Amino acid sequence: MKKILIAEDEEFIANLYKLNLEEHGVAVEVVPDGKAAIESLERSKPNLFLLDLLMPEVDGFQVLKHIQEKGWKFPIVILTNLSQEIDKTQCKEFGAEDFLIKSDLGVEELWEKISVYL
Amino acid sequence: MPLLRDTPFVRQKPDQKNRELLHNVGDMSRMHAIILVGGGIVCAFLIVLSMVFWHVSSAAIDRLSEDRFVQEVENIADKIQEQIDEQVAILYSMRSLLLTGEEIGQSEWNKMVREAQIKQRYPTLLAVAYLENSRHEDRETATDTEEEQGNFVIRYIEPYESNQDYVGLSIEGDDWELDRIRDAGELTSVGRVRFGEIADDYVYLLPVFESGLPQLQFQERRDAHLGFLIAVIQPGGLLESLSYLDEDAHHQFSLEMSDIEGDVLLKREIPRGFMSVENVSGRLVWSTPVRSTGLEWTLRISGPKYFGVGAMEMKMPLLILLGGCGFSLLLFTIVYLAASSRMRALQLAKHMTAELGKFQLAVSHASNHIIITNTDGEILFANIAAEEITGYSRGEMIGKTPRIWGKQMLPEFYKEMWKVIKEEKRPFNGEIINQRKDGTKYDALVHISPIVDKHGLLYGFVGIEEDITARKRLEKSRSEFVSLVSHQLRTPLTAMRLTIETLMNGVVGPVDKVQREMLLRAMEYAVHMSETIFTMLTISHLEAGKISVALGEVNLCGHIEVLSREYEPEYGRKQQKVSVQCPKELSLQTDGKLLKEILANLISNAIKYTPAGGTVTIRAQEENNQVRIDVADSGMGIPLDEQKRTFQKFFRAKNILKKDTSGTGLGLYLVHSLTKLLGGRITFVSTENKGTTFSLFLPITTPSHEKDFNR
Repeated sequence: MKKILIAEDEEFIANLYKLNLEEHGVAVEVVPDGKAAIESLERSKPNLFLLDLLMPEVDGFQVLKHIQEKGWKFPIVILTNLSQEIDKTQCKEFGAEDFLIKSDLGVEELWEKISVYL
Repeated sequence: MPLLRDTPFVRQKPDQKNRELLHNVGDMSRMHAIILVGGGIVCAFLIVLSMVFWHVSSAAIDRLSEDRFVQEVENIADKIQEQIDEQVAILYSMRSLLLTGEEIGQSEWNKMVREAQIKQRYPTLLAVAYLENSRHEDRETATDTEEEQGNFVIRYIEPYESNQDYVGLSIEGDDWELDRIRDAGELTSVGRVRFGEIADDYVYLLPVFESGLPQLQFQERRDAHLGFLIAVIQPGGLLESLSYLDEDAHHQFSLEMSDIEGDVLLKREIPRGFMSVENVSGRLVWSTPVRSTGLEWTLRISGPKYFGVGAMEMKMPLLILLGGCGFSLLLFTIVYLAASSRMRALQLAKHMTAELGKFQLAVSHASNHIIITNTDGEILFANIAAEEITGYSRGEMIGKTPRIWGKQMLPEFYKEMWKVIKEEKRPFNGEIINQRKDGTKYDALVHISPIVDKHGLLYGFVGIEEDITARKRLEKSRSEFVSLVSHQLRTPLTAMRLTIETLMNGVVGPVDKVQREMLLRAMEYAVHMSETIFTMLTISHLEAGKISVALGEVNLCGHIEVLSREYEPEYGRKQQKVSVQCPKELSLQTDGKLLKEILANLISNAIKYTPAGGTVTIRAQEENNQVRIDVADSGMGIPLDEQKRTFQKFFRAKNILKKDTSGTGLGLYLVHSLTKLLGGRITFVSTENKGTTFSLFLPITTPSHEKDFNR
């Protein structure tokens, strides 16, 4: 089974993603911050990593940097509510595949966009 | 006003400035006049001086001419005298021949004379003869009286051919005072006498005695006297025979020789045809005696005024005069030109200084911080703004480097900056953080330009700093606000959307039809809110210049169809008809995301403002190398008097406001701004209560320079 890792500090939102995406037959692991995300990534690599940017302590950018430094290879899609151009550019530089705005997408639209990486 | 009062621009009234300028020009005019008058006096003096030189040198030339002339005349006279003496001297050598003791006949005589080459050597020696004392043989028989009187016969003569008739001719001693000459015993001239047919000739007589030399005693001389040797000389001919006076002679003159009675013996003109001696006006005339053996002639020569003076020498005084005058005039002209050009230069310099003063004032009072440094960065000039911005006085800045307020960036930044301006000699632009004297930091936009001459030599740098602290602060707060809006509004919205969707998906349990309908409406509101946030943020980014255009090949019809499908729930509910007319192959080079945003706004507006059952037409076509997309509705239209403001921010038509208050007035503003960003334009035609048609024109291929637009 394909595994998706979601790093999202809003627990309620993370669980809703998990609930709906698991309907499509994928395993979803949810972590509440960047630190936990890195710990999870140390253990096992997902087929897809959905990463929020604004998180307590270790934020999304730091996670991206860490991944780049380690040289880990798996598709990363940014799922955030930040939409500044500079954020997008920075994420692209760190190797993110796509940059999606949470509030602009329904779960089904999200699935349509991310399923191509699985 | 208090600020302005201190600036020299205001302090000095223009007319006061002009007066000052005129006053200075007046000073310069006076100086100019002094220089000119001084120059004129010097030049006049020089002209007078050259006239004096002219006079003196003329006199010198005259004297030179005279001296040469006199010299010439004396020279000729000497030559003539020499010739005569030489010719007469022949008689002495002939006498010694006669006295060799041998008997001499005519033929021997002739031979003797010929051998002496008298004729060839002395053309003016007309004849040489021997006059024999006829009583010599019969002296014993002659009476005393006869002997006293003497009776002489021409015994020999040469040239014999032309004078043989004279041979045997007897000459009475009285005629030529022969006795006196015999008694004197020396070579004596008897002057001009008629000798046969030969007139005007001079006869020289040398008495011949038996023993050769004359005896001491008077009586002895008479006894020993044998006869006379005679030379007939034509002195005038001497002039002709003087080889010195050839026709090619360089000098021009005429000469005449006259005897003691004033009878002119000969005239000669060199060259032939030259003015005669009589015409003496403006000429040099000189007389000199020619003496020979008791005779005297007068040689008179007349020549041109500038005798023996070369053409150059003759012109010298005139040249001195002309040269002097010319030099003076030249000097005057130079002084004049120098004075005028100096005056012009002074005026120009005055003008330039005034201009430079203005320039310096402008730089001093510019609102940007401006400094000029040498190549080591030491400050040579700083303006008022530099003092205000950095907090250092100009006194504190001059001679120091901008490091006194810099050093806040990483060393690499300054290294790169120096490399660009000093090594590459290119301008440097960048944002920098500096520190004021009081320790506070400020953001500045710096432009540093190297001052390089045309040979590439570096003189220094001009640094211009703009304090952008306030702008940065504003930018930062705006950015923070946008982030806040993004995050704080979108996060709850996300939670709502996900909840509704989760419920609708039936993941947490089944929903009935009514519940589902409610959830669908809730979802529509959430989507609308999401769109509004997106529009606001997009405008915010757009105004901050932070939207970049990502060009790509866009299939227009695909885009329009996907969009119209997205709005299907809305127009389906209002029972509207949406028709799309689009050629399948139509595509263009543009930013797909931004185009979608434009079209989504136009289409959603059309659906929103068209009443139930109405139609919305979307038509795309190629027109004049552009893509034209018409979005036509059959809605309430835009009132004519409000059409001008349609694309303004927050615009909402009055007729719409009465019915619907939910719009933001940002949609068309965004559409208009994005269209411009894509290099296109948008127009519309609207009739109230009938409908509106928006026409969007986009370039098929965006010009390359617009790709980086707004980056």
